[in-house]
Amino acid sequence: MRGQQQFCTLTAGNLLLGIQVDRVQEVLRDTAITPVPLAHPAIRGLINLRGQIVTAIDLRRRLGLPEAPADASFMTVVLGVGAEALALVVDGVGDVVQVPADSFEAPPDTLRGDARRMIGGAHKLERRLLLVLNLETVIEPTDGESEAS
Amino acid sequence: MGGGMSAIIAEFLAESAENLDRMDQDLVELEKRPDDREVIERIFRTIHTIKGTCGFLAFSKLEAVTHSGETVLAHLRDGTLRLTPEVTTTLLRMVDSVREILAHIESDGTEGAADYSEIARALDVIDAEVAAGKKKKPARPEPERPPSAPVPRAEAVTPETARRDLDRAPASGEPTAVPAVSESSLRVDVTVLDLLMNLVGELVLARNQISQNLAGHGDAALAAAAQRLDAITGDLQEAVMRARMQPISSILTKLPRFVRDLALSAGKEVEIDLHGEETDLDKSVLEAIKTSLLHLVRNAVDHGIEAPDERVAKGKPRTGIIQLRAAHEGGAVMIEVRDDGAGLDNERILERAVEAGIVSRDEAGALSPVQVERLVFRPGFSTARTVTNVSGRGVGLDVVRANVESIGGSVEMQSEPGRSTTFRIKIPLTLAIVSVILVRSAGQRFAIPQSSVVELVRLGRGQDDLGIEFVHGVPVYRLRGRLLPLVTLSRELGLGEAGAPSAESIVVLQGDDRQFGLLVDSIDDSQEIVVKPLGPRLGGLPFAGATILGDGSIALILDVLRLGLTAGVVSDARLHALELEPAPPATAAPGTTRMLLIQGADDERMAIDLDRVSRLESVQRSRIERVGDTTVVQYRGEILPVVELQQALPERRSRRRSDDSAAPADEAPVVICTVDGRACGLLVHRILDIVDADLSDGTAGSREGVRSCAVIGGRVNEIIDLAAVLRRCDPTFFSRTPAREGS
Repeated sequence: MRGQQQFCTLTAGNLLLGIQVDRVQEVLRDTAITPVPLAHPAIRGLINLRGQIVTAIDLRRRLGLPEAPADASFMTVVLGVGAEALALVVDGVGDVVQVPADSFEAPPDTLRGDARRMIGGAHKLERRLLLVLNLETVIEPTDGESEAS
Repeated sequence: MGGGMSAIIAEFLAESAENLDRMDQDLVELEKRPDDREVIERIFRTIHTIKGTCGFLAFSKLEAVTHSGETVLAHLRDGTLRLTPEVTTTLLRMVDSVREILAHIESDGTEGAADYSEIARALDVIDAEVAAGKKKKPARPEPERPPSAPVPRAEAVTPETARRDLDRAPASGEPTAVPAVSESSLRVDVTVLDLLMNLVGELVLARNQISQNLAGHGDAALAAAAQRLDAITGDLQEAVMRARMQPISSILTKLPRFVRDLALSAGKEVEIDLHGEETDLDKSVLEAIKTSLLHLVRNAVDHGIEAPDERVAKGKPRTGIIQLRAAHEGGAVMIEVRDDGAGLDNERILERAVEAGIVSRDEAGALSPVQVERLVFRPGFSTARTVTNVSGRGVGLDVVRANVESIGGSVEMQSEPGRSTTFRIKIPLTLAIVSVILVRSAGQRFAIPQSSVVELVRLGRGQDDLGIEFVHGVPVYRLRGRLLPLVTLSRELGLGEAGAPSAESIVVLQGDDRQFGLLVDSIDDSQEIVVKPLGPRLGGLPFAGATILGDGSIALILDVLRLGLTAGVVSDARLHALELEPAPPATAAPGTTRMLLIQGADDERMAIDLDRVSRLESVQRSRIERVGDTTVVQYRGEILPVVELQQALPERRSRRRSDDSAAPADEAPVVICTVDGRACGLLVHRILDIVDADLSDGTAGSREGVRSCAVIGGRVNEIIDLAAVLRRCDPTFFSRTPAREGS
């Protein structure tokens, strides 16, 4: 049906975020991440995914959210994006939700800063607002950006 | 039908390209040995096959050109035409035309608009000349067949034609040049091989995890299975690696033709001699060195080999020879390009280098011949002016060097003025697997390619006098008399704070022309690793890639050159031409002598001429035996007389320590020296370093056994007179023959 969309829900900080289900390759829990010194702060490091080296982007840092506590558990969403292996580090991964396309709205005005560019819009769920990640912006190469985090 | 057809055409193109490459080589070969029937037959068959196939595929231009070529080749084969340089050139031009048409077919499926009738005419002229000359000879059957008709001809069977038909028979449909090869090999897409390579890499990791988990279990059957898995995985990895290998001949076969054309246009006579064509190399490495190799060969023809008359005047054979050898050496491949030309004119190089501003005139005077030769690899050395000058060399050699080094290789040059120039390229077998050393810094592991590691230095605690010094706030390390700039890895990567109190080791690295030391917390291990590229998001960082270690963790591979650049210790080579030695020279710098520094029991310094030293060893004092008046130690199955240096020198001070306090450790370092062809061990307190020292302004020695005193590294050193020391302790040392030693 054309009117329905499926999103995989993620949490980062106090936000509930969604990415299109077909962009998710797999989800990992608490993987070892090797930090890459001098890299852009949003890049959390490298993950060994069965012999493939995957660059992990920290979604909290990308959205300009406060850092998670050092000992907090996290999950990694491996994205199926083109040739380059990429993953998002998030606080948690929730259910897949199905939403009608017509519940889509522009992002709330309360969003500011980096998050504003990263979020394409929102779907109103029953109790919460599902913010739809603008995945292309989230994963775009980060060379030219400011190093502030 | 279209798909089937294009597959046939693709096959035809690939096959023809290979055959044409060999044909280039064969034609040049044929010029040297015009009577080699085998070569003529091979050339003939190649052209014949192309002609036959293109008739079938309706490529009429190609058919016309190859038809005329085949006619001329048939004359050659039948002995009615002798090969002259003109004929060879025409035939080579035909090969070029064929190649051009094939390239066109490959790009858009048509033969293109170009007109090739001229080359066909040139070939026909040769044919006509032969035909005209033949009338005087006994009649022979017309050696040409009707165009594009691979149909057996009906003609009188004479012994002559029968033999020829036998030769031709296999050529009528299938390429027969190397039937054995074509049947046992197939073309595989490189991406498939890359995929295989990745999968094998994963398999290796899975295997490692299994063997690690298995260590605690006592299940014998499982252990045996794991062992088999281990062996099979290893073999599989090697086999996949081999599948990516290609013989270097795939680029060498182009060279004879290349050299011939170059030589002809330069008015020189040059032959190229190829050795080790079967040497296998990873495909990616081959691609990477191809241009460099062509460059070196072109250089040899352009600048190395002299004009024929000049060569004769020098008493050399008219024809210059370029020798190209490829061989496996350890885990690397050595390629040597050697010409027997004029060699390098060091004065001319220096002149150029000064003109180009690479060195100042003052610096130029102080350079050793080896350093001068290395100048040709400097960026900026090549200019248009040197191209026209026969005596100067080094057109774009900096590019060659950069290319070779970018794949972890090295290039060096040796020259005998007036006789030869030799370039040696050393390259890794494969780019995918690199030998690295693993270091630890701020708790993280990093891999450093062995190719950039010069040496490892362990910072001994308590040897403060050999520690790190600061020059204008920049840490340096005194390594054999040279100041080595230091870079603290953790600080450079923003991982830790300055000072690096935890640093224990220095990795001496070669970045561009300069060396620098990398301070790391520890040096763990050396390993062969599989290089995985980093994504574009991690570009611009001092990492060349990443690798997965045996335990599944990831280590970043350091990009040494970039690290040096960001740390400011390696900068544009042109600006900082010669502040540091380009590389540790094999011999001491001019005006200095290479000395072994020794510390005595009372912290006094002594030095021994390194030329006299053959080895440094350590022996257990308990193994020192007394034989008559002398002390000896068994060393490599022989009896080596040893002398305690401290005792051999006359006492200087009354408070000299007693022997037992001077030798607290059981292990004692021994300097094994050779004097007048005889070996002798010198027991010393401690070996410090090897330095290049200027001994010219030393003062005379103050005691027997000391040749002179000189200041080395800020301390006064007694230069030991080995002969005098030995004579003093054993007056008969020089009179005895080695044979008596064993008695």
